[in-house]
Amino acid sequence: MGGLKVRIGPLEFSPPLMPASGTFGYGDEVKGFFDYSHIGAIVTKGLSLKPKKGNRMPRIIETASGMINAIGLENIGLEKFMEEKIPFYRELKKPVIVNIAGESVDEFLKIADALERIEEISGFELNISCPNVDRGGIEFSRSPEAVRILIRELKKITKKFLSVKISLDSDYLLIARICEEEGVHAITAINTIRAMEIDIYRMRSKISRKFGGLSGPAIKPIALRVVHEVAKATSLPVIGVGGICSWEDALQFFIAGAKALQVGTCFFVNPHIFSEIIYGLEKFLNGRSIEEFIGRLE
Amino acid sequence: MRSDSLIKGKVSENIRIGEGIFLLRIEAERKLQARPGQFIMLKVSKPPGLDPLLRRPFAVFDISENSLSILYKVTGRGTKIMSEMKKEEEVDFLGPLGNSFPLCNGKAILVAGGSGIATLNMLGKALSGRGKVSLYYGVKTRGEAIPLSLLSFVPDEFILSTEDGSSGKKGLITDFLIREEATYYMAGPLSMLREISHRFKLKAFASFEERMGCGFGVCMGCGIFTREGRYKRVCVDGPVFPLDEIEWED
Repeated sequence: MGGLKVRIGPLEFSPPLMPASGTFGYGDEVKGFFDYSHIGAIVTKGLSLKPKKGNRMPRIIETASGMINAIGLENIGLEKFMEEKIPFYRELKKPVIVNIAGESVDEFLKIADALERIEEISGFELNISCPNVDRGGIEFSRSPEAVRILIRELKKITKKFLSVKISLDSDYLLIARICEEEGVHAITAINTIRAMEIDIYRMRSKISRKFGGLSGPAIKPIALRVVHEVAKATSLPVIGVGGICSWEDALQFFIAGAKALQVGTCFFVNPHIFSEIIYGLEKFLNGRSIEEFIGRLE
Repeated sequence: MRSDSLIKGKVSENIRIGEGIFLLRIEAERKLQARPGQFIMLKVSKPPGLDPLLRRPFAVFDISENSLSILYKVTGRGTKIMSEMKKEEEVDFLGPLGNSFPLCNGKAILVAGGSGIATLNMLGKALSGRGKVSLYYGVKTRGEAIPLSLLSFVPDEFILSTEDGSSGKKGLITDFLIREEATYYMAGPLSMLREISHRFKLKAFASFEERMGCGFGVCMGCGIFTREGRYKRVCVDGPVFPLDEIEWED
């Protein structure tokens, strides 16, 4: 994978592909069939301090070329995560990025603080853009200054890789600039887009929480646009995510300005997607480096 | 799910066997094995198409060597596309996935609601010879009932009910269920499982259906609330659960 290697902050991603948070569990769920050499890092499901039960069913609904989800950050909580998942990461020897989904600055800090001294954890992705919870999540993004305070406080306690996952439902360019000023290593763009699908007979939303987050190929052109905007507006590396389903999609994101990619919804449909992207890109690169193509959009 | 669980195959048969009910037989690229209660995630859009995007979960109706069949009812876009699949058409699926029914000795009572019959077919076959097998089968109307001859086993006792009385007994299948010294196995709509759970305290195993994103445990879309106070995943922790493990939310 000579040409498929990038460095972002303190981490090397080889290949520059990883699962999107929430589409790969904690990573150990797929160990029976997944070849981890096809990803450059694991990105965990959003983690909170205490376990979260998640939303009621129905949590997902398929839409045209996409799906809406409102899982509600169901997760096992910090304590169980440290107990049960770290041994797996120790064996795996892959960078592990923990997606932190705090409701408050304090919660983010507590989680980061507990994981800072754990060698197996390579970095954090701040989930300030989840559309599916009452507190935290997207609420953070509505106040860019709160994001600044959050990052500033986090930087005091962590030297690890730090990325901020942004949402379309926010002033994301302003947030990206704040991230740059505060020394974040990367921007993950984009989170799912708030969306709805209605049952016309019951006159209700088709998912329990009314709104959920739209993902899949349906959002790819929007994600591409945002990746490009962020790459232009700041000097920060962008981790592109949104509807990638083929190596051609992946290359579009690199050309738009992404330095690494995440694949989410498509993994549900095609568990071989990572190896297919690598195969396609390597063939296309034919010995060249992917770096040659990053941000090449005319 | 194993590393080679993305399986390619060709449609060998896709026949209408009732009102909107079809039997799809796939000739897979290799020999397959499945336990009663397991399911597959079938891609319904033609590769490399991505719309409909998600795979659809279907119980394995029967399996033999390279041949796998599923029974489905046309209810939406995905199953509509399936109903138009032609012989020799290429398909792929993940699986077999999920856990399976424990096989108990002694009398077994199988309760199928609608398409739930698909889930119980392989079980009935596996239980034959272990003890008496009774089949309670409830559908809305006569046309929705698949013929008994299509099943891979012959139940020792068979009770059919239709909601409109067009065939068998009139009413819901739960109206005719009686408590016996037996192991109960069931598959069908949530309302049927809930009703049985509330009315009888039985030694029972039920197969649950829920919308699924992935089918292999990562999307968290298919939760079922349990007495442990948390959701379990229908796809990997199930689809079969002891009925008394479920905490009904309504």
